[in-house]
Amino acid sequence: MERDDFVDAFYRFLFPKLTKAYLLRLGVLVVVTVGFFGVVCRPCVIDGASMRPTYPAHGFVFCWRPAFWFGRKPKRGQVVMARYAGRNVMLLKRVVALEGDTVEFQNGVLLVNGKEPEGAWAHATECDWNLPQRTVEPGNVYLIGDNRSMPIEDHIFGQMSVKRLEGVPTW
Amino acid sequence: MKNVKNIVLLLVVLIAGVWGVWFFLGRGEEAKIRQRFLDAVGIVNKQAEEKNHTLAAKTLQFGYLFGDQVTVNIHHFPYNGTNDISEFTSLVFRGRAMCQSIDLSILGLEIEINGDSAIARCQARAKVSAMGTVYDEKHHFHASLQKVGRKWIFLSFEDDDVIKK
Repeated sequence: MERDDFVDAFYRFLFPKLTKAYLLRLGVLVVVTVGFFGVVCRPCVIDGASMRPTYPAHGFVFCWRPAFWFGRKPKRGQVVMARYAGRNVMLLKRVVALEGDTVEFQNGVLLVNGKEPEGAWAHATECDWNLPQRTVEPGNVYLIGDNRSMPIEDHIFGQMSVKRLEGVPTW
Repeated sequence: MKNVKNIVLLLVVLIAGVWGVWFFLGRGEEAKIRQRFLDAVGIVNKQAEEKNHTLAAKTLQFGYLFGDQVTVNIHHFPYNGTNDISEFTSLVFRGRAMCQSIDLSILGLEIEINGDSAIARCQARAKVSAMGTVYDEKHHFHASLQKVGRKWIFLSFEDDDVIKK
């Protein structure tokens, strides 16, 4: 390719002719992009240390919403994103118990149905929390962050309706 | 190919139409409540050098946002309790006077409307500079609102129980 041809092609790439076909392609691209990133896979900024060390205190992640479409239910141990205040503020937490399960903390040890759950997330950080036993109500899950090094009062956790679960992080 | 083009164009026009109808008709009361929050934030916000006439105007406007009685029950908030609007205004502006600057912003708002009453879940960020110290905190609470005439007024602010320990 001659240099002039290359410059012409580059110029056409930057400033294309506004033909019908081009506008149609552009329209479809906009609709698909807005639909995908607005409904299916929403970009989110992480701002908070409650899921350290699994997720950094400041980071970026996508919320994959189809994870709970078509009646799919959350699983124990799954990291989820839950609607907290509108669509713009979500909690990034781990599901530790499902409806009907009992949850408690004894000297920093998480007990679900009286047993310590399997998996590194169950004791990702040292803690000294004590929480009396409670049963997760129907239609709810119990969410806790992996970082339990702060006092129990400063950590946002607890039972939340399954309807508020928005999706799962993509990584 | 022409058929496909027509279908795609029709879809785009349909989606734009549905969005337009929702934008102009469907969001009426919700938009008013959002505006109420923005009004409240605008009044509470404070720049380092506030003029007296600005303070006077804000004090006057503040009273129109609330009902006769205001209940506040938020963890760590210094003015919890039920007060009539004049006491509440006095308390808030006394607290405001102790700060050099206040920068409140609404991060998220989720509104449920039931007839003439509404609950708004709110996540707000407060950057406050007071006595040489800068505080930057996020608070989550819910506000109860009542529709009086065409306006929504705040009745209470309480800790939200969307996630219960």
